[in-house]
Amino acid sequence: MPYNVITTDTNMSQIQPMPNEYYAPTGYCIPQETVLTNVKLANAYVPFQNLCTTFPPVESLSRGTAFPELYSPYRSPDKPMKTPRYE
Amino acid sequence: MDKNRQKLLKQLSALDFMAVDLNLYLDTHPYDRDALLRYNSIVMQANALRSYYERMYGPLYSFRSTSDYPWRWINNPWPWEYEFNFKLAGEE
Repeated sequence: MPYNVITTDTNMSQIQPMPNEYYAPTGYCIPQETVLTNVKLANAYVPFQNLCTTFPPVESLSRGTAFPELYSPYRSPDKPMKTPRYE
Repeated sequence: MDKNRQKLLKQLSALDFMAVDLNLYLDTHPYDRDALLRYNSIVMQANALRSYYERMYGPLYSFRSTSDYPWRWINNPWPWEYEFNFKLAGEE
């Protein structure tokens, strides 16, 4: 068993990406890799992204990204706050 | 600038923006078939919209848009002028 396994908090995936008629994927989709093994303390890691869906074009333009999982406005109630869960 | 032109230009800019975002994703995910399908579809939509826009309102590029007679590129408004552009602020 690798000495530390960090499963990034999957509750972010509970935030269903905004339904979007053109791009909505079928089925349940987590927009990133969720298990990092053999990660060292104090090293920064960016989990690998996995495309699930995109915002519609005009919303992407005004939000600054086409990917719901990357949309994180500084001042907004829907700013996803997460804490990693350690096993 | 008239409403319809402004709407068209905004949609065109949005499509180009998405093409760039998907391009960045594809750079690190070249084997993601779904992403490539979306990218191609966005680019085709943008190209179709661009040719429609240019037929209606004139060239968007001075070096790769054909032009009616006389040379239309020098007509106002210029792309950098406020009047040429759509308003996006305050919509999000």
